[in-house]
Amino acid sequence: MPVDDAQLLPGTLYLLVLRTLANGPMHGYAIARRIREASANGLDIQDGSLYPALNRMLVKGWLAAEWGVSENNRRARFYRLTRDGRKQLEAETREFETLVRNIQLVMRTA
Amino acid sequence: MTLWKEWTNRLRYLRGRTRIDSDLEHEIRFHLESRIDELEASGLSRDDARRQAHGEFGSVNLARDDSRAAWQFRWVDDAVADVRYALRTFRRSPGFVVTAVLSLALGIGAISAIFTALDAVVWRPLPVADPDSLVLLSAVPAGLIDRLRQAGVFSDVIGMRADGLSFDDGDRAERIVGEAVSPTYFRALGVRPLLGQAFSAAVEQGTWAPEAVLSYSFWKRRFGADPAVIGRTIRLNTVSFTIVGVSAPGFTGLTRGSDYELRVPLLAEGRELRQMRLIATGDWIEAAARLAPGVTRSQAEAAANTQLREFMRTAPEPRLRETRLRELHLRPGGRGSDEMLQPFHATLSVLMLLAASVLLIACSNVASLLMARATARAREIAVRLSMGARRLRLMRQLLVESFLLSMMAAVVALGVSSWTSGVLPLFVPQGHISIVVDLALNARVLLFTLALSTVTALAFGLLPALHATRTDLAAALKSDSAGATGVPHGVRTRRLLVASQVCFSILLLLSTGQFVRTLFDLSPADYQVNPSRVLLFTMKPQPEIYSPARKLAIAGEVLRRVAQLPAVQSAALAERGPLGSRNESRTVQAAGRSIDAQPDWVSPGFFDTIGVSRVAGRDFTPGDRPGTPYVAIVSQSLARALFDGTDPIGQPLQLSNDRRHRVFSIVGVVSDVHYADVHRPSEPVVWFAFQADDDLYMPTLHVRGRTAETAGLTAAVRGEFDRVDRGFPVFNIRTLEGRIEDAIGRERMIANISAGFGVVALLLAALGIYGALAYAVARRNREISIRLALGSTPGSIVALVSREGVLLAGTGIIAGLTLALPASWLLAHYLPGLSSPGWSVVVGAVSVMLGAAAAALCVPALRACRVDPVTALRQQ
Repeated sequence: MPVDDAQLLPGTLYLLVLRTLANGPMHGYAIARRIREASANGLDIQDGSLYPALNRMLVKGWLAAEWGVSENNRRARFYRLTRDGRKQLEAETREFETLVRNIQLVMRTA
Repeated sequence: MTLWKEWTNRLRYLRGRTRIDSDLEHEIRFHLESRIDELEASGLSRDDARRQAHGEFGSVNLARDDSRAAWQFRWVDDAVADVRYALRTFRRSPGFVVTAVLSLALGIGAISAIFTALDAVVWRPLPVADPDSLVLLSAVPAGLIDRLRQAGVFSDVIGMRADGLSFDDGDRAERIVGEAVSPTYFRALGVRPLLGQAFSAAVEQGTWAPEAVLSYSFWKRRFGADPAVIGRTIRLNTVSFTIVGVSAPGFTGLTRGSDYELRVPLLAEGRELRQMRLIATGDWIEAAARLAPGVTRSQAEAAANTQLREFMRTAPEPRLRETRLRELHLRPGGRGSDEMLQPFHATLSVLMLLAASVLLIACSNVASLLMARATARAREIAVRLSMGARRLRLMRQLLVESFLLSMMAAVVALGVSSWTSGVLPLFVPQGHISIVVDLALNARVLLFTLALSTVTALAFGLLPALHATRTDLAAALKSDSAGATGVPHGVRTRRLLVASQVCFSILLLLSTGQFVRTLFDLSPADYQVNPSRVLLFTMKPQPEIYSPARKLAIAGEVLRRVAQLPAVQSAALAERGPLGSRNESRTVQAAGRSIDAQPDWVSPGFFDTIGVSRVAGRDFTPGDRPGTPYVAIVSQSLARALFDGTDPIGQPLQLSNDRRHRVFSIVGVVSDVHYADVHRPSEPVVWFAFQADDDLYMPTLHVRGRTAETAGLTAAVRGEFDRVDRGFPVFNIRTLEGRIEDAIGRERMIANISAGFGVVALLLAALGIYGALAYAVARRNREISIRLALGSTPGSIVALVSREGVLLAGTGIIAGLTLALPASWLLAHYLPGLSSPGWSVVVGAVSVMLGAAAAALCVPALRACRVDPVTALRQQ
């Protein structure tokens, strides 16, 4: 099943991935696990939908990927942020914070 | 910027497609296995772990496909699918495809052929380095060139002069046209030779040497494209020259339309070579220059004019100071000078206009075919729309079909236009300097044709696509289209399209009629006595080699020998002859009046040879030789203008500005002829006896054969030339008929090509009418069968069907006739000498159109009354 957009703000998955990779290169499975942990299972994201997102971000040039060896000694593909990706992360973080602040503002005044 | 990056990333994917796909496969497998291991480690059974991991992952296929999709240009895949679908539908209706492609091919081919010509004649830049910085100065005093070079605004200034030369390679001499150019000519233009190194460094630095650079076509024609030609010696005007290069194909100098056989370096100013006047810099010379980097044309012009004023003030020669050259005008030189081809600009523009109408007709034809198809496919489209296809997507599908048709047509069209490119030069008149236009297919033509067919596809495809996808879903699905009786969607537009085809065809036919009429009006009636039997041989004995007396002696001897050939009826010499490419009028004075007349110098028997009748007096005779009184023969119009009906025979006549103040006695009158230009009423002509003059420059031998066979006669006459003197070059050999045709070459070109266009337009319009009616009959099959079953006569059915056709043709014809007047104004604007169409042309055009419409009507009308009511009704 695809990502249910109704539960996810637009671009949230990108933001999550960018945020996760900000700490350093990671392979796809590790990203999935980190997102699962970080969101404390609160987001209903299927693992499979991560890969189209990763590929789209590769096309956009936010990420770069190379093959390496995983902690369990398997060949795995590691993703890292490019300079564009870092810029995108900053921009999206700012945007997201503004959005959240605005929503909070609305919630408080309502 | 980001979009650009995405595209390049995607392009990388297209290259490494398989690797990225296998990476993806590997990665997903790694993810699942890692998760399974982890779950298994937490205590689940292997199977449960696998089930849970897959559950968390979701569809593997979807993840894979979506990931792959991120890399793809979606429209590429869609386009491929559209093309496949279109080809499948084409395979099902080959008749439609052939008709559409041929219609479009004729239209596109017509335009791209005329484009090829216009491009070659007007637009294409010269194949020189940086054509934009080249400027033309026209003729300047030769001494000015060095001053201009030092003006600081030009990186180089070059001079050039072209004229006939006598070339001999051991065999008989051949008259060619050579161009003497500044030694730095090739360097200044930045053209690299195909072979050799062009002028040597020593020559470029000012030490003259007899070096020659051959043109590509001369090298191919005269030297059989022999690569070992470099270093060989040739003789020009008896002087030995070394071949140092062969120009690259396509480079033909700065004069558009010319292709001089070779180039030699000019001598330094003030020096000359007795055997070759051409290479002396002389007083005046044609000049071109290359602007120095960063200098604009107007800056350069100002600087050049300062130099000119300074030069004129200090000119050593008073003659120069008296000339009218007050100001230099720098023209852009990137396209060369176009004096030679200027007469063709208007002709080609008009032909482009006509070709555009043909394409318009073709477009409207194919558009109406597409609309008919769309009606037939209404259900298919309705079904696809109802199944959720977006309208834009369907329109794209239909437009892809249009593009495919158009591209196929472009391919056929390029074949058509490469054929017409071979036809066009046949109409280009050839005088003593040949006009050469390169009409070979080139990248520019290809690109233009491609762009044109894209626009064409939109022109004919957009309207039907919009129409087809606007279908009323419910109605289309419910009703059986074949059973519909009302006027269905799009029929009105189709009728409009067909009527417009008829309208444009009528316009094309009318203008064709006008051109043909002009051609007939211009064809001179003066040379009616078998002009195809009169052969012309132009001679160019170089004045540096042959003394006037020798020229006269040799020409006289050749004439004597040729006149005695059994196949020859008569022969005569003339300095110019009828409709030669040289003409220059002189003022003639007699009886206190003066008139401008074309002068010529001829030998006895000339008038009988070219077939011009003598009206009064006598012809020249061998007795009119030096020492006897000067005699002249005049045309009737000259006699009328100067003598007002009194007998001109015996009257004295003088040429103005005649240094020798000769007085000629008129001995004969001949009927009026178009002697120099067929485009004007026949002008006065005066002929002098050859013997009376003591020099000839470039005379033509006129030979009237006894039969129409010219090949043997040509060889025999050439043989006589060879026997008398092999160094006496003969060229431009053709018949008088050919020369007459050349004189009206432009008119023949436009009349013939527009006639071709007219036929195509007529065919297309007839096809349009046929298509519309055939479709109407098919649509009303049931109605017709009911009528027949109820007792209608076949005649009334034919009338029923014909009514629509007559209506269509009639509307179109009336519209065409209404537009004819403004159209003929437009044509007359481009071609001032055009005859008015006249009623005969109008009646002719309308009846031809009606005939075509009737032919187009026949088949559907007959088919309609042959409808068998029983089968027709049972079928539905």
